Amino acid sequence: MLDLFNIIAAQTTEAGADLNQFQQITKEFGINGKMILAQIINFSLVAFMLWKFAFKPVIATLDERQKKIADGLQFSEEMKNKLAEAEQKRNQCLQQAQQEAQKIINDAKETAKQSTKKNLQDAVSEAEIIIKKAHQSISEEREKMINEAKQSLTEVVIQTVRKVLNKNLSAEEKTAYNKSVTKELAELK
Amino acid sequence: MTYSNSKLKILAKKLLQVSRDEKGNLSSQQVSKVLALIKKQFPSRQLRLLLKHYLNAVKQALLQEQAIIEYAGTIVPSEIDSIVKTISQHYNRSITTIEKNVPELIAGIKIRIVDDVYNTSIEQKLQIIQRKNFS
Repeated sequence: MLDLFNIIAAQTTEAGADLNQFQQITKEFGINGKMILAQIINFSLVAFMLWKFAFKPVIATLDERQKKIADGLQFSEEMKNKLAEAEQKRNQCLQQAQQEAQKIINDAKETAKQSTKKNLQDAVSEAEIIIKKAHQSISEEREKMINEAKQSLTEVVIQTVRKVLNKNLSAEEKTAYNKSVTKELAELK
Repeated sequence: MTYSNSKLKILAKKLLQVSRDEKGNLSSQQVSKVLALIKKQFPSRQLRLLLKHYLNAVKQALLQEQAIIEYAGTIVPSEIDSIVKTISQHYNRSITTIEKNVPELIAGIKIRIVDDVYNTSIEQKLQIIQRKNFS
């Protein structure tokens, strides 16, 4: 126990020696503890003031700008996505339009083909009708001509017979004819 | 008393019946008697119209009693008598005739009584042949 006390006493003596040494050094370097404390307080105050009125608004502004940039980037990303989507849609629409256009062209070609075919059929039918009518007309004309010729011939024959009978039928023959028709009339009753 | 037109026509027909003799033929004597009677007894206001109807009835009756015989060539009177006899029997009334020589008939006889025509002429036969060929 005594030893321990001696050790501590020794150490305390050593510590006192060290303290003196420390005080000597600080004195040599001109370090004043109170001044340091005051400087610390001043520094703290300045740091607080700077933090409060300079750094904080700047940081807030920076955060805001950061946020704005982030929003801008997000917006840009969204726009990019939308643009891509719009591009895709446009391509789809374009493809669809192309398909529809192709379909319309095909339909138009088919319709034109059918129309041409129908027109051809109509033309053929019309031509057939015209030919038929022409044949009919020719036939009718021919029949008419034959009838006219027949009538003319009959008329000529009748006129000739009339003239021949008028010229060559003698009075006796006429009387005999009259007698025969009178007889016929008498038989009619 | 006033008669309507239709009644006057009926009266004219009755007067025509009175104008015939016993054989049913129109008699000039009977017609004269009828005319005298009408003149004497019928009101003068409608006399003209009745006479008109009576005249038409008499004309119609005369036409019905008259046959126009057209012929070409010659026809002997006995044949005409035969025709008249036949026609009279057919129509059951006495028929008088008017004969006409029409050379256009060529030969044969054409008889016309009112609207009835009997044509046996050669001209008619030629016309029938012509019509047949034309139809």
